[in-house]
This record gives sequence, C-alpha cells and structure tokens, in this order.
Amino acid sequence: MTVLSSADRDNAEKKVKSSYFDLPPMEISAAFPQATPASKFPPCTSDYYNFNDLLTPEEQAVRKRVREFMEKEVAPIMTEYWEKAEFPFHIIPKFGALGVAGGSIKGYGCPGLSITANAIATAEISRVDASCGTFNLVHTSLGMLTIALCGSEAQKQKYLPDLAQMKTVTCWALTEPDNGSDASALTTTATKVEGGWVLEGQKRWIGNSTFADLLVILARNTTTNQVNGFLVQKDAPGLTVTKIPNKIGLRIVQNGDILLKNVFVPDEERLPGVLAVSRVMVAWQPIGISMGVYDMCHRYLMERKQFGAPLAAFQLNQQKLVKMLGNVQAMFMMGWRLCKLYESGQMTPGQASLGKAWISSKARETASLGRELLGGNGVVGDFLVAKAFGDLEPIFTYEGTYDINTLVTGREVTGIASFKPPASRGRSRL
Amino acid sequence: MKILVAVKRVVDYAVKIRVKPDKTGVDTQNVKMSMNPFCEIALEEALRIKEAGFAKEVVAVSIGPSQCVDTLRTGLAMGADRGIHVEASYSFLPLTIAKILKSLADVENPGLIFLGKQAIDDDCNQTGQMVAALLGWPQATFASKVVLDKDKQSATVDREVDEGLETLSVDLPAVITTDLRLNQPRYATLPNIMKAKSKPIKKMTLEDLKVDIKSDIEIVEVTEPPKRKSGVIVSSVDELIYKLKNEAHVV
Repeated sequence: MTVLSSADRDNAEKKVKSSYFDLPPMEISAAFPQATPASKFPPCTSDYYNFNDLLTPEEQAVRKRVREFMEKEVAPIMTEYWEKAEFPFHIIPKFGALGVAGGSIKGYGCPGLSITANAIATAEISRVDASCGTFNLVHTSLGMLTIALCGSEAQKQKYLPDLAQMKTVTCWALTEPDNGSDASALTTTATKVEGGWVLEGQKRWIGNSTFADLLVILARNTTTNQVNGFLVQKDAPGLTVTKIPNKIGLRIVQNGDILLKNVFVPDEERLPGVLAVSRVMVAWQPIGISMGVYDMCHRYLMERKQFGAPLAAFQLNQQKLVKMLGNVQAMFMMGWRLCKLYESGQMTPGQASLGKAWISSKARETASLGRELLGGNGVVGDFLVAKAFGDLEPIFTYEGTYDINTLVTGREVTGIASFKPPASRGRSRL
Repeated sequence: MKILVAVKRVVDYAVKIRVKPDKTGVDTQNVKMSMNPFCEIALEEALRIKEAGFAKEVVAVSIGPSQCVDTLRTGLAMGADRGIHVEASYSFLPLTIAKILKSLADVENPGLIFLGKQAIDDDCNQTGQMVAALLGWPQATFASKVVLDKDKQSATVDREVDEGLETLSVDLPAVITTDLRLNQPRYATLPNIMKAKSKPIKKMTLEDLKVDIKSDIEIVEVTEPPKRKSGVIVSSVDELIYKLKNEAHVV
C-alpha cells in the first residue's frame, strides 16, 4: 500500500481543489440567459420626440456613423476594460480613422464639424461608453482646441494633423492637488530661462496623461503672472506621470498625477493664451449616457420576466422608465438649445454652466432609476447601467462641479458672486 | 471616363419587417431605411476604379421620393463626386427603373454603369440586365472581381454562377452588377460626411427624362410566408413512407 507523504498529499489535494475553485467566470449569456448584455448594444429607443428632425442631414449622418462605430468596436470590449481599469489602445487608430478627433476645428486635417455635430458625436460616443467620450473630449476639446485657438501657425501645422488622425494623443493639465475648483489660483510655475521656460509643479486628475504623446500644461508665467499653456513632450526630462488607481467611475480613462521637476520647454512650445470652451461638449456626455441607459433598460424590461410576465408589465417599472424617458427628452432639448446659443455667438458662461449642472444632475437621477430597474444586473458592468451609474459621478464633478457651475449661473443672474465663504464677522448675531 | 452607380433606398437589412394589414405591401412607415447593401458594394467598386486612375468621376443616382437624397448623401460621403435624384412618388419596378437609367445614360454618357445584383426588398435581379438590353451594351452580372484594361477599353469580370466562377470579357461601355464577395464597402469618415455637404445633387423629374412609367405589372397581394407547422413523429418506416406518398406527395 502506498502511503502518501504529507507533501504528496498536499499536492494531490491542491490539484483537486483548483479544478473546482479556479474556474473562469461564466459567460454572461449563460449566467443570465433572459437578457442581452450591453456587448450587443440595444437599439436606440430613447429619441422619443424625434430630435433627429432638428439635426441637419450632415449631423444626422455623423450621429449614425459614430453610433455604428461605437456599437461595433467598443460595446463588445468595454466591460472588460472598465473592470480592469485599462485603456484599449488598439482602438485608437480606429478612432483616428473615424475622423472624430478635432471636432469643430477647421483645416489642419480636422473634420470641421458644426458645434451641434460635435456635440452629437460626443453624446453617441458616451451613449456606449462614457470613458471613450472623455478620452475624445480631453484630446479634442481641451488639448487640440487649445492649440487651434491659442497656438501659433507653426504650432498648429506641427501638431494638429497628427492629432486629428490620432497618430498622437494629447491631454490638458490644469487641475492641481491644491487647486481644483479654484483653478485660476494654480501654483505650477513657468520661469523664463535662456531659450525657453522651466516648469515646476504638480498636476492631478489629468485624463490621457499616462500615455499622451503631447501634454498641454497650464502654468503661471512668473514674469507676467498670467497663466500660459506649454507644450511638453512625453519622456521630457523631469516629467513623471503616474496613473491614479481605485476610481469608481470612468475607469477606462487613464487619469494621471503629473510631477514637473525642472522641465525645460523651448520658447517655440509656449502657447500665448489659454481658453476652455468645452463646457458645452461636456454637457452632452450625460445626455448620451442617459440615452444609452434608457435604451438598455427598455430592452431589458421587455426581455426579463418574473412572476410570469416581462418586467415592462409592472406599473412601478413603467413609471420609472417613463420618468427616465422624460428626462432624456428634456436634457437633449437643453443641450441642443445651448449648442444653438453657442453657434450664434450669444452664449454666456452662466448659460453653459446651467446646462452642464442641470443636465449632469438629471442624468444621475436617470441612471439611478435605471440601476433599480435592472435589479441585480444593475450592479454589474455587463449590462451598461452600473457602469454608467459610476461614470456619471466624475462627470457630475469635472469641468466645474455641480455646485461651482450653479454659483457661476447664480452670479450671472443675481449679479452677486457667492464663491468665497463669508468673512468672519467677529460675534455671531444669533 | 465617368461611372454611373445606381443606388436604391431600401428597408435596412436588420429590420424585422411586417406586412401591412391591407396586404398591399410591407410596412415602411417609421422603419429604418438604408442604402441597399449590393448598391454599397457597387459604389465601392466604382470608387476603387476611380482611385486607381481609370475613371474621372463617380456619379450616384437614386430614383424615388425626397428621402432618397439621404441615400445619395451617404454615397457622397463615401466618395462619389455628385448625385442625381430622380423624383418619383412611388416605387417602380425594374423595367421602369431601367428605362430611367437608360435615359440618364444617354445624357451622362458613362463608360460603366454599376448596380447591385439585386435589391434586398424585392430580390428582382432584373434591373442591371434590362438596362444593358435597352442600351444595347454588354453586361456582366454577379461580379466577384472586376479588372479594367484601359488600352483595350474592356473589363474582365469574374461572375459567381451556380457552377462556380465564370470569367467574361466585356467591351466598354458596359453594365456590371455586383455580388457579395466583390469588395468590403468603406465606412464614411466624419470629415468626408462634412465634405459631402458641398457636393451637388441634381434633381430631375420623369418629364425631364421623357420616360413612360406605365407599368405592365400590378402587385395584387403581399402576404407573409405561411407559418412553419410543427413536425410529426412517426412510429415506423412504413408509416413514414405512407405519409411521404399520400400526404406530402413527394414519392
């Protein structure tokens, strides 16, 4: 009789244990057969008031094309990348071929889309995956647009064509650990030296920065005390970029902490001005996300059955669904009007801030209702809504928090700025 | 050389169609419409021929209601140089379409006319052949490969036929209809979608083209195919033979 030594016995037991315990996860369609997962994206049922009618034929064609692209290329892979918090680099050339980068910039290989077309494209990208929406927003409406509006002709010729094809990727570094909402108080400095400038400071939350080829860094020109933009190449000596982990939303976006220690930037890589006109585009991300959430919930409620009936047969579910639908129509209308105000040159900062604040708030409510409707499947990314739910949190906050945007509009409509806390008055009057 | 490509606006291939209650046809209200997939392949081939330097201009033509302009814009976004919309308030059958295309060919003088082999709504597979006959031009249908010879002014076309592949040589001008494996149509890029805005689409009427639209065919009724009945389990081979002989009448 062979007696197993204790070592052999452990190994034997290990072999038996691992074949039971270490199986890979079940394929989602087998684990939950009743409903189709988001990898096969649901058709669009959220355009209830047929807003397509308001779009020009080009804008409709752009909408259709971007939707096709996202449903085909991103929907099948997004759950996995969101879970791993990784970026699917292999789709960057495909995005480049689509021609969406560069948005409304004219010339230099950019598509020259109308503001509304660019907004619709942003919505359609975000409808499937908000992180990709942010990736393109940062690249196009922050990085590229800054170069297009504030750069010299030489800088535009040098950088924009490759960025438009996404042969290179850019980012836009404004926020600092100590300066978020109070962005204009930023402390990263740019000091004049022979032949250029030396940047010193720290940035946080910078999307795309961990892999961007070109970084647009906003720093305070110590000579003029104004904030300028500086074009920094990746791998520049003194530049360190590290990924921010543990995010609950927009997990596919790679946000970076940036350290600048004595980073030299030649004179010709300084941008004279700084502008951020992306608030309108950002407002379209929650619109797109809400459309996707509704589309998913609509399909799910028709497919999933309990107590012998589809979920769509229950009154409480219909009420939630219809509430979501109403929200989507209202958000779209507001976003569309904001685009028209922008296109006609009338738009004020307060109008843009109101749009972004209200829309992102309504979207959060919409995603919350959607999360309830999907029950258990509303807590896994495979069915889109849980991912959207998480993604809306950073969107509610970035590009001006809800609160700050509210105060921007508040100042505009009352004439009274209420950003700073009230000065201490000594004795309380209570 | 100019290439004329006929593109048809049809119900999108992914749509689940329903027959109208009055049985006059398929319900197309609020249904997604797209360019016929075989027409996309035809347009793609024309664009590739132009890009190879064998043609100067690709002209897309569509016949139907005003929404056909959307289909033409898709074609322009893919790369066609200009479009022609022949306004017609209802859908025509192949012979009428062929007569219209012949009139257009007399005006435009193309060196090649490309069509899809058939439309996915009626599956007629007639229009290309009829156009060629009306013009007296050679035809190569079900093309899976097209190679042009500029000097000889001819095209060598591989055709997908039931027995396999047949290779034909046709002198230009000629009519070619395209089959599935000829090419993979390109996706329009956003910059091209925006550029398509400024490409011209000429509107023409049936009066302009002097075409007689009286049809010799009337659609009497459109119904769904009968629902598949469930099968029957037989208890023996004898019973099977009996049923095949006396009920199904196949032996």
